[in-house]
Amino acid sequence: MKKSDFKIDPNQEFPHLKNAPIVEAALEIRTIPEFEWDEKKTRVMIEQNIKEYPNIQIQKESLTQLHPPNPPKPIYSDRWRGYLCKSSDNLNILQVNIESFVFSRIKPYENWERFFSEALKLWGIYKEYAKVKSIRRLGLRFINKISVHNTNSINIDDYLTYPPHTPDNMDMLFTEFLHRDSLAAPNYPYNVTIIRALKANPKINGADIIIDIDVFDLSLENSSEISIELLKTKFSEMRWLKNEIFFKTLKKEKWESMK
Amino acid sequence: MSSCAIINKTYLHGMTQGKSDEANKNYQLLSEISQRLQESQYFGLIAKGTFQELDEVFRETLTPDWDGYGALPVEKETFLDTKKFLILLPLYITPPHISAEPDGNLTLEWFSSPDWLFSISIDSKGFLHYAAKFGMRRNYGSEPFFDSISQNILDLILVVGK
Repeated sequence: MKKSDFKIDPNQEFPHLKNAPIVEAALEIRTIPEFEWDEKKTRVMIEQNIKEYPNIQIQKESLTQLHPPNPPKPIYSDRWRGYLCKSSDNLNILQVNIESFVFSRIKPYENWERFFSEALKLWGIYKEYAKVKSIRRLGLRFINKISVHNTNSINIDDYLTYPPHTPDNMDMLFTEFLHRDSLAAPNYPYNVTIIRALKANPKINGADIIIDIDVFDLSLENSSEISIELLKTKFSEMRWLKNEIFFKTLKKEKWESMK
Repeated sequence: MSSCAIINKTYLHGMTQGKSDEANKNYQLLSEISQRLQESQYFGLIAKGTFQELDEVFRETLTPDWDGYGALPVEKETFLDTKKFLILLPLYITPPHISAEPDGNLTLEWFSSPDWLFSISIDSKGFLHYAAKFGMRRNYGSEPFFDSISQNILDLILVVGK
């Protein structure tokens, strides 16, 4: 394989889309628990330190037996794993979990600066409470949904730069598709999972095209280096990757119409 | 440009956890695909009877003193974590032998010979305790288990379970 020229440029400017199709932006930092968390103490910490997220729900790990024995006897468990906290308008969501910090912004997404500064502020609180010493995984995921209303057929080529094809271009029609690609960035520690999907949506008498981009980094797994500066560098590079992939996945005419 | 692939195991580290409807739907769709492959006769641990073996071990160890020597019962959390661990295993892994321990943990063991084996013990608090013996080499430790299998554990399984 030839040497790659792949280069990340975090300073590159991308077009601002006033009507960006982002339905969720999520930033996750998976950690290694340093102590056994107490459910009540964690709630008190959230109520005292994260007052802008007053809608607090218990997060339970829903373990369900998928293949019950004969005769079927379902078994459920709901072990506590943390709290899900929502802002008053329910648009910002924080997950304070034993093994992970996740900050999500549900649509409308405003801009990266607001999203990232809020995430960093909350991470500071989490990090102090959880006494985080090491990180297992960094993730930055943006889910985009392009809804096509009132139609019986869609030309996928109009939306995606690399659409799926029927076998050897057989003369058949897609009714839906789900395509998952996993890519590695040469010379960088980042991986990306891209999900492209087409799903019929009876509510709009049409269909939704999903472009779900999840950039992640596992290179910190055995490192204790978790400074804010490092996270800023990492996430700005991951953001560049996410943007580059988005603008190279959706057809230019489509994203230009979102400006 | 040709399509080149490098093969690594990053998929084992799951997805960034979204909370929107779209995030949930994508997760569900991918889980369904994964389960369909697990059900296949060629690839899957379901078809190879591994999950049935787990169900049987669990049924036999649900009550205290199941071994007649005061053993602790296997908790449902342990059982379900073990099931989740098996579902997350890559498709090409050899099925492990499943057993219960007197402390209520469930153990998965990949055995090649008395000097070449790897076992993982799963407890009710979501921790994995593992021990490997590869000839003169020993490797053991504990780590939390949530929604992915660590590279370290997978590499150890692959030594015996390929």
